[in-house]
Amino acid sequence: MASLRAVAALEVMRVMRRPFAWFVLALGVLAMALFYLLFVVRYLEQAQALAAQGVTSEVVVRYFGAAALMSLLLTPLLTMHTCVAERRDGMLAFFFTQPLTTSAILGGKLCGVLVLLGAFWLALGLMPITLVWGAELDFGVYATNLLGLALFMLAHASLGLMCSALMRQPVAAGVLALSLSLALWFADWAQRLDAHASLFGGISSVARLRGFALGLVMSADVAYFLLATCVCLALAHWALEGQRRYA
Amino acid sequence: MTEEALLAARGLARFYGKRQVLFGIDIALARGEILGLLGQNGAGKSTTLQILCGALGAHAGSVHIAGHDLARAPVAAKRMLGYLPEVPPLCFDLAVDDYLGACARLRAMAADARAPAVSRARHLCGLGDVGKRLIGHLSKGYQQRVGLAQAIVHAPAVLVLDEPSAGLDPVQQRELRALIAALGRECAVLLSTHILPEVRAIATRVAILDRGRIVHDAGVVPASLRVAFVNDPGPHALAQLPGVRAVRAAHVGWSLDVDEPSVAAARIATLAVNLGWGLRELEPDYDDLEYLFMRLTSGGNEVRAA
Repeated sequence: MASLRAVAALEVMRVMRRPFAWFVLALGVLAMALFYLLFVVRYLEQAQALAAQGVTSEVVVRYFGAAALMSLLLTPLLTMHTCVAERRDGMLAFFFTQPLTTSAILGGKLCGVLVLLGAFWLALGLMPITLVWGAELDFGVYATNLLGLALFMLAHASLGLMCSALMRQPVAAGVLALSLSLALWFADWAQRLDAHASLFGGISSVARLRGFALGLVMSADVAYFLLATCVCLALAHWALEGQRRYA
Repeated sequence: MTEEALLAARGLARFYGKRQVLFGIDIALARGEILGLLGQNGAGKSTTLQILCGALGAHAGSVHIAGHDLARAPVAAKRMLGYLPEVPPLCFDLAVDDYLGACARLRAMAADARAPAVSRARHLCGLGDVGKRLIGHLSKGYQQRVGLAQAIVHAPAVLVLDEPSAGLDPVQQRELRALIAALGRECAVLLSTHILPEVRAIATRVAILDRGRIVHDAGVVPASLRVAFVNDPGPHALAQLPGVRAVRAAHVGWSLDVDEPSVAAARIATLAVNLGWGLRELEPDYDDLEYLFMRLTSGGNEVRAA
């Protein structure tokens, strides 16, 4: 555990000084602020028609849905360098020569990415709080949406880390992570188009957010995200161990 | 493996695809020894070093560091190891002190021991006044020093250096050699380099790697002096000089194998003046190591062809 904390501390220090990542996230927050404004303006314009659904359903839930898609698109940009670029500049070999297990290396790297995504999550999560001054916010639904977004980000960060461990070029890692993420998104569409295609709904991370959006924390959804995280990290572990042994 | 060996590798073999690049490498290194590892490009030096440090796995053989098996107890073994690869592993966005502190933490040093260790490593590597500067803003030479500082920050028992003087100017190279020689008194040092005079100056042993095989592993070749005279006394007269063990013809003058180069040089200079030989040249002869290297490696083909 101490070694994981040591890697995490180094990764966090490095992440804090990486302007590209912060710039990408700042753009993401700006885009989400615009979405938020659009949802609020739409609600105000159709206040009477939407009054029955309530502001939480019409603004907060829609906003968190958009936030999930935004993080789905941005996370590959943040994770694509984590292992690939380090392999190129020798830092990965450096970690291999340190008294660390591969799990500690991966855990530390995940922590570095999660610091970035955590800041993004926090910034996104604070925006709907402004509704408190003009409307009655359902904090229960708000909290489940926050939890769902956090689990969604965790799973997609692990997916990006896995792609970065598997590929040899940062761009290839980014493209693979984005492709897999988009596939998970489209799987949700496929289920909507064909009600019998329940398999697609089962594997889609976007579809798994639906329960959280309704204010429900279902153990199956939580288990899905945690299982996806574990599978991605296990594959990343396997890829790094393979490189250490057989590269 | 000898009991006192801090670094002991036996029968290391490594394949890249179907191509075998290392064939049964054996290396043993005790405290106080500095082993110079020589070899042409592609001979397998960096691969050997990466295996010894755990960055690559071996397909056969074993590595023990301070008694710990690198395969079975990698964490314990690597705690005893400092490694400077050919390209120093640096975080260019971090300040020198932050980076060295993080390296000390990675090696599981206690929190209260890290600051003194960083300060010591910085002092040893001549980084006294750049602790707060970003690594990316330092010159190549200073970055190399930071790379060395990260390797020694935890006072390792075994220090592995891959081309440590690459990119350094002559003054920095000289300082680095002095530092490695000093470190070599406290730990075991494995030094891979192309610079033969560097090995000659600081190594206590030389191993030569050729196409994945150790073809020479022995103490540094006996010290030699190269001399040339206006009135050449001939090899028989030179062989009679005290401290001279052998005389060979050099491309200019003679190459003398001697016991103590500095003592022998003083004697030869005095005798040359007294006997009127007209001393023209008197210098350390580095060609002996170069000759050995060329003879034992693939470069020897050129020697034979000539």
